[in-house]
Amino acid sequence: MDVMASSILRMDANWVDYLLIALYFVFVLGIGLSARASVSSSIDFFLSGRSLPAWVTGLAFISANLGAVEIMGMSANGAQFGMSTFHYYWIGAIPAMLFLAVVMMPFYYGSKVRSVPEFMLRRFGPAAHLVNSISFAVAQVLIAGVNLYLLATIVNALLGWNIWLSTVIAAIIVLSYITLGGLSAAIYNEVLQFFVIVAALLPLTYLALHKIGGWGGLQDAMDKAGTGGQTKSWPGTDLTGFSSSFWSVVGIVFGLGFVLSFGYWTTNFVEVQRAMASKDMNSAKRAPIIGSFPKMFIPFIIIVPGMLAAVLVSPLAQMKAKGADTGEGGITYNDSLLLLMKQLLPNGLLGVAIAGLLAAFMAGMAANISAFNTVMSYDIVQTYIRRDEEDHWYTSFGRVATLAATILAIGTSYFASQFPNMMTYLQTLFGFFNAPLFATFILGMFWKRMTAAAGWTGLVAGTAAAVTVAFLSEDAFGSASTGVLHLSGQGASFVAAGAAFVIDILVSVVVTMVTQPRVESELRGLVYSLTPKEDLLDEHAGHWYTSPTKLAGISLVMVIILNLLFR
Amino acid sequence: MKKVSLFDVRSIVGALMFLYGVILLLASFATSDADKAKADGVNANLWVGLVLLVFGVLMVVWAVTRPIVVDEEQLEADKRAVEEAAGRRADDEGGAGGVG
Repeated sequence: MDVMASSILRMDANWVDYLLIALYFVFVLGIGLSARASVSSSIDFFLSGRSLPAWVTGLAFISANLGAVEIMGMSANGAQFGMSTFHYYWIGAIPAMLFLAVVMMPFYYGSKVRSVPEFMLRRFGPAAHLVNSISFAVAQVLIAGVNLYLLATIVNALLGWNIWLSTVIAAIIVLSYITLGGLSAAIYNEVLQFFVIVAALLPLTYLALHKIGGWGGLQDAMDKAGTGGQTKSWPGTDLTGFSSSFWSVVGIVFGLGFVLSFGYWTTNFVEVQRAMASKDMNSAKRAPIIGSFPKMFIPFIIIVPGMLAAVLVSPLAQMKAKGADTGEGGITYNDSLLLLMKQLLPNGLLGVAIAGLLAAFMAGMAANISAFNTVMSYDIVQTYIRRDEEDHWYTSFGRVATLAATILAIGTSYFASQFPNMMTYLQTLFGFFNAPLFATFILGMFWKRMTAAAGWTGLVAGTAAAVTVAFLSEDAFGSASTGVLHLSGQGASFVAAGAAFVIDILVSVVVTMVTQPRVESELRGLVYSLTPKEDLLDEHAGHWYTSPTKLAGISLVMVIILNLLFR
Repeated sequence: MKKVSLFDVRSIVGALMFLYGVILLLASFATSDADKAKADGVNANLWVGLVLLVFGVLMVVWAVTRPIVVDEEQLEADKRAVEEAAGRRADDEGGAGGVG
């Protein structure tokens, strides 16, 4: 993005907008400060969260994921590919959330581990734990770069400073946000942010639909633009970049629906942690299921505005008609939502929208940085490098790590800026990190013979397979890809994730055959066949709405109906 | 001992939404015709402001009429259990645990 882009994106915010943005920050800081005053430690905070009603944990569960990356990435996807982006929700999220709730949660909650790397340590020992910790730390820095880049885009649109100055300023803002203790109140901020985002995006979608003449008007306009096929979600050949409809459906169901999404939702540290803050097994299982209901309908205010932007915003429509990646003034699909906001929202509502987006990017990046920090200080340095230092040594190491991670993120935000569609980049990253992890997890949970050596070799081989596919594809790695395989768009990341999964399983099985399994008594609660059956059963639920299995069934039926309605 | 939690997410969300509603309503009277024309003549600030205001009031009313009660004994017991688990883990790993 260059100086031209900043002029085309420049929002004409006035003092009312700034007042609304400032008010939001007052609330966020207020939450941070009162959280500090009323709770003495992070343990305190999480446990006081345990007295919260199930709907709060459920909302926190999806708003942890409803970051800015999702909002901007999914609307970019909507603008570029249309309705098939809904698969990220209906195929790529809901089934995995239900699976996490019903099948995986008993292991997490029952084995009393507090994090995903901790599960790796107990199931497979130090080598797999170290591999997992390092790959997790790298992933966090790369994703922080995405958040930082998008945050800088907003600062640039708001103030008109150039993108590099905006990036540095944005990094400084996030650093001070972390130091001011905004993170100790993470769950509360996430719920607050959720409502602000809905308050901005719901009217935006309504206004845009009103302008174009409703859903029928959108279909007509897209027919006229020659993209009428994009109002159908299947077979999604635009999304996958596969020419065959059959392989496109296979790619979506297996690559996105199974490997990527199960990998993301069942092994993601942040998501799982939300559910584990519940007060008992029943609530822990219900949190992802309750979250699945709003999750089904959120795409209507994220993807649909993206589709509308591609028709209503003329520079974007011209760019799409030409099939180009960048348009007038250097705009890309990532800017869809900002352009639509600029075109439709009056001062006032514009401030609400900017506040919501700023909040989401900051929270997202702060979460990445602090997760990096935790894993770096405790899982890597304290466990493997400097074991016996005083407590304050690790605390000051943590501060240095925070600063280092922020500086690294400025570097990785440059990579991120090279991708015209942020979602393609993110899905590629998930293929590297989450897909192998999921394969190792699922095998380790159901196959008690699987050995420690198989744990880490599987992870390494899986990641290597995904990286190889990304390099051989046409554009999964941007200009670094060689184009040997004719894969492009998100299809390339689906194939990379599939390869990671298959190779991980193969290597794990082969290595297990030639190495010594662990003693069974050490695996109690960590492997399905060695876990007492009563731990896995539903408790007797008083009402249908407290029974996880029944709720999950309702959610599944609803998502199937949605798929049929918009097929 | 049980006590009512003051730190209720519903009052916080309600308060912010209420204030946003008030500001948007006030702004709606000053919304220029050019701004209205952006959205086909709909005065978006007015309608969104009204909805947010009502929503904010409802959230606060809900928080006040159905407060969250924290069972402090249960909380203490939970806290001990987590600390014990953390201690056990630290022993297992030769003092390497304790991720806050």
